[in-house]
Amino acid sequence: MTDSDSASDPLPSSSTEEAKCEKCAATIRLDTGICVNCLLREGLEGGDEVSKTSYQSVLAEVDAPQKSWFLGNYEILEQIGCGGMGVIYRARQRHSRRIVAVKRVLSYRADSHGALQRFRREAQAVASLDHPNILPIYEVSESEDGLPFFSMKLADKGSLHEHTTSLREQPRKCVELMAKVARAVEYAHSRGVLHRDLKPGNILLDDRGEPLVSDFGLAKLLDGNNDLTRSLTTFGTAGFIAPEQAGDSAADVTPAADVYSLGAVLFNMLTGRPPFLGANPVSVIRKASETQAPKLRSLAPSLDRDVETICARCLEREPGARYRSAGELAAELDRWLDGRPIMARPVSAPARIWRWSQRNPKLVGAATAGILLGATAVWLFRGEPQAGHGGDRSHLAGSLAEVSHPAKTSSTDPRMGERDRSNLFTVPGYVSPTDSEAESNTRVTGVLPMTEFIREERDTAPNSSSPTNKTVANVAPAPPDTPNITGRERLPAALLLAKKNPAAMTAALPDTESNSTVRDRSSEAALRPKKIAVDTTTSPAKGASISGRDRSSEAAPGAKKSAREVTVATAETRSNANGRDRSPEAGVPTSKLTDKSPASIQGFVKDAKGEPIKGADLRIESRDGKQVLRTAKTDPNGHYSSQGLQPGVYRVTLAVNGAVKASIMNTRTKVNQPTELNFDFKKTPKAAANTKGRKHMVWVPNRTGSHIGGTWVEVDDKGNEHSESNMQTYAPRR
Amino acid sequence: MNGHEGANGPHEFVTTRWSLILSAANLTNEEQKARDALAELCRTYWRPIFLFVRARGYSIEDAQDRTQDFFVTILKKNWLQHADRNRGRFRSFLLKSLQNFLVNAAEKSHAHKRGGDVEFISWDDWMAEAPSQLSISVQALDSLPPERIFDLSWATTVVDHAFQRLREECESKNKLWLFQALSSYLTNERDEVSYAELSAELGIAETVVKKQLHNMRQRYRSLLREEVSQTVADPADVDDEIRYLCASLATETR
Repeated sequence: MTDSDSASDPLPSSSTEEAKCEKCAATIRLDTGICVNCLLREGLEGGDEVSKTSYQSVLAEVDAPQKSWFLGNYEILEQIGCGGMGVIYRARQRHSRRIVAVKRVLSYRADSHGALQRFRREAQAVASLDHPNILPIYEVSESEDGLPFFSMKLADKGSLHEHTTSLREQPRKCVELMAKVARAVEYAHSRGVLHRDLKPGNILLDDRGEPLVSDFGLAKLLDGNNDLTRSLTTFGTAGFIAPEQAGDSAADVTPAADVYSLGAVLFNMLTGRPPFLGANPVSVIRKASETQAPKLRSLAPSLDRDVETICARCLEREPGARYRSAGELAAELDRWLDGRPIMARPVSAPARIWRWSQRNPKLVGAATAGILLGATAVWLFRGEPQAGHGGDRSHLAGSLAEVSHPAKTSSTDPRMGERDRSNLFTVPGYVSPTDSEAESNTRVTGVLPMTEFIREERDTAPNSSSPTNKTVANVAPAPPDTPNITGRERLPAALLLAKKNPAAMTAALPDTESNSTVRDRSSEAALRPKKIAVDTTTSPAKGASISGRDRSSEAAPGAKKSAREVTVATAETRSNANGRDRSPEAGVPTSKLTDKSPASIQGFVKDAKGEPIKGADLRIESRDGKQVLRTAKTDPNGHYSSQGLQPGVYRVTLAVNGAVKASIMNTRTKVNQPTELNFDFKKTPKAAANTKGRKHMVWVPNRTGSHIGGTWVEVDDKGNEHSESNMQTYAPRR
Repeated sequence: MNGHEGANGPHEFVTTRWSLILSAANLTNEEQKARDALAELCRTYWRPIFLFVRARGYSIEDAQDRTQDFFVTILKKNWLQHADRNRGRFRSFLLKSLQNFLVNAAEKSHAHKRGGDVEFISWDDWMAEAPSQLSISVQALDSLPPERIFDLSWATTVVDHAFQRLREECESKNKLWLFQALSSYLTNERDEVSYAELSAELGIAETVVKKQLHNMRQRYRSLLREEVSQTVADPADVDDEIRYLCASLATETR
């Protein structure tokens, strides 16, 4: 190695001086100068083991006056708090003499220096937040030993935690406070910063009693690892974190998690306890994951039912069933404060049954089979139906027809009762329109758990103009922006494990489920099956369908293979916990990627204005989205390329700033023939009118603060339709 | 149980990470825990791995790639199957695996290009920001065999972890000043310490200084042993492992 090497080499710092230890002659020392060998030998010395607790009790015996010491420009006066990630001091700024709070990271907690680096970046991002209800950070710096710290406003009045008892007597005050907090959180979300550890202790009060949200986005960075045992120390706020934060996908947290926490904090303020209690943090988390939160009024019967509903909505286990943003929660709280009706509705009985069925699929299957058997037996036993029942059967046929042609009905039909609507969501592929947006005739409603689906516009069908066939639907509104933390940045926390471990990688992917949002106020909309059929105004009978899983065997007879289907890569299908993976479809040659592999995928990414999006992340995934095989970034011209693929079918997923925007698939990649897959976002508000040729539309939900999304993406079809099922090739928009 | 907490001293040996990894190798339901534990260990001991690869003559970039690929390889699900109790310590098993990995990698002409396979941690973040705890001469680095470099770095990592934890335990009790004053005497014999001077300097009684230093030393030992214990399968191996590391350090300049 040359000297120049060592200058840039992150190898050990070099020293030409022989600095042998006087005792052992070894030359390796810690930065502090202590001989490593001697320190090691200490471990061989006898003596009793001393636990942390007993050692710290010995430390506490020293009653000498606190020696002042400095952390950067701050004279540390006293320690005022200590959490899983660091220590907080009351400190005095050296020159201004201002009293501030200084928080520093404990290096041992930080796991790796990479984590520290991310901490710095995150702290800087948080420092850029400027909101009256967010605790201002004054300075982000680092100490002499390279550990980052930051100074912030010292909130003298303590936190909500200390005021829980007094606030409990003032429900209105609680709601007012939480509305402000929710707005602050919404503001942070809009700036790409998640909190991830909202709890009463992190909501401070200034001298005027105004809430100040502190610790934005910091805890997660340092606590985020997969080690369960380690997590035990970080679950100190179990009961306030969303259930999805506690799973293996802990690194994958969306704004919905903060919404959950806001609800939990409100719940805590109003009842004096968090929604879930348990003997230990793990049991609390388990309860939160497995059971519905208790009703607010079961603990505080005097509270208003609407507040109960609001809390319940926040505390939905399914992220997609919660308020879609902290801002929406704030607006809801404001409505309540103003005495206006709130938007959320209590969970209906059918929805509860649906949830139960989701949790007990086997029981449901058995029950369904039993009912069917029973019905069949009755029918057979009775033989030919009596004349008087003919109408019933035709009614049944009509119902079935509705299933086949969902566009023929609409759950927004005012004549349709709540029960009718709730029945509909069990119909696979049914699209449930909502009651507000009818201006577009090509919208799809319901929860769109993935960011894209594809609709084919077909030649005008004979009955296309029939108003009864019009699918009135709206696209699920966009989720708030995800934090400006890419999956890549999360990797160290989730550890390298994620790199090629499909399951872990899946966990690191943005939670598309929680990204999805619900326009439909009824909770059951969120729980609707993820198979979404889209009928266009032009061809409802042959409408292209979009499914959450392979439906090649389920395609309507008329659709045949020309029906465009796209696999919606939901979080569910990716993780596919039920084992119903699409193995026949997932037969991508995934394990033998070599640089000599002859196939390749390339293309470009352009935004709605036709401008190239540089630095966008593209994941070349297996067809089922379970394995990330390659990644690529777009260059300044928006181009990307991934070489060395084996011929096969791949999914290409686009993420901008860590947020998944769209995902498309190719036909079989061919040898020595680059496959071009472009992401071309073009706003086409009247997409439905575009009936000439074979147009395909990809919907990309809006994301707050993003310059793309919220549009139909129009792509031309080359016509290279895959002969088997749902593969398509897209050509650049011309 | 979290070995880092160290509240229960030697009892935690039964759940050391390495023993967890070994015991869970064939248990499906324990696999995730085992992988997490393995990942944790890898995170701690990435530097020895990188230095070893580097010492094998790879450029910095290539060494980074190889190290990352190595992590990926061993964190793969089936890797755990190869871990068996007969392999002994995590350190030696990791080194052996690393050596095999590099041999195999060298045989493959289609070595993965940097970043071409799967997105990974930015080495700039990881490496450049990591202050080295190891001060070693350039000559030594050039002359020592890679295996020795690996051991040196390993030993340093173990010690540094224990040392930092001690520091933080002091700091959390507002006794960073005490740590700073006494930690440099951790390895000194009792007669080498001038308690009177320390007493005057710190403004506390000499007996208190003695007691504090004694306890700090004891606590450090516990932390060090706990650190080492995470990498051995049998608690009885801790002493041997420490001796091995000491030996590698003692002969490092020869």
